[in-house]
Amino acid sequence: MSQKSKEEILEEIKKDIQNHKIIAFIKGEKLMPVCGYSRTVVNIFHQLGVPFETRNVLQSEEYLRTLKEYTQWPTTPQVFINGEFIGGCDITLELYESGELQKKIEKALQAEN
Amino acid sequence: MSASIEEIQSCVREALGDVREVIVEDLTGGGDHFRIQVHSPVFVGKPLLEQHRLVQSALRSFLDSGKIHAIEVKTVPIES
Repeated sequence: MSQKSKEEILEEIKKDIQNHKIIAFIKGEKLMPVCGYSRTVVNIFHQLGVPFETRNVLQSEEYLRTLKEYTQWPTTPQVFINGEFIGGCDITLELYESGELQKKIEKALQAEN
Repeated sequence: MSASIEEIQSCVREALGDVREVIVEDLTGGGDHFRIQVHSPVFVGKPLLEQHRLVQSALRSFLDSGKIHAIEVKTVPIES
């Protein structure tokens, strides 16, 4: 696999965010998150039973660095709903517990592509 | 390569200015995973993401250098 350039990675990240209503950039794969915080986020979306996409930030150092620069958020996981950056694990969890996350998801899934 | 609770508290106080309380818990005892709860009026009226960004930017040097691997942030807006 050739090394993707920073620009190519950024383009890919932006496209992924636009093309998926719910996407989480996590450490590991959807079925095998390798970090507790990533697992928490994946479990939340599993529990809500909503379709969601994940990307493994460990695919390359350049990928992780480009993502963190793009969002200006120094940690992972990173969650986007309807193109909006939601935050990391603790914000996603807090919004889930307050019901705010469910509202954002409902709005996103209703919105036409 | 780890951070101390006192370092984190002083960094947050310095960056945010008016802080009532900074409760820091070392989750693993290894000085690189922390739960940080910050009570401050600076959070009032700000969206949650903005509140967390303030705490994270206060600890930017720790996070970027890898001295801290993960932080769990809880922000508590309080009237000044």
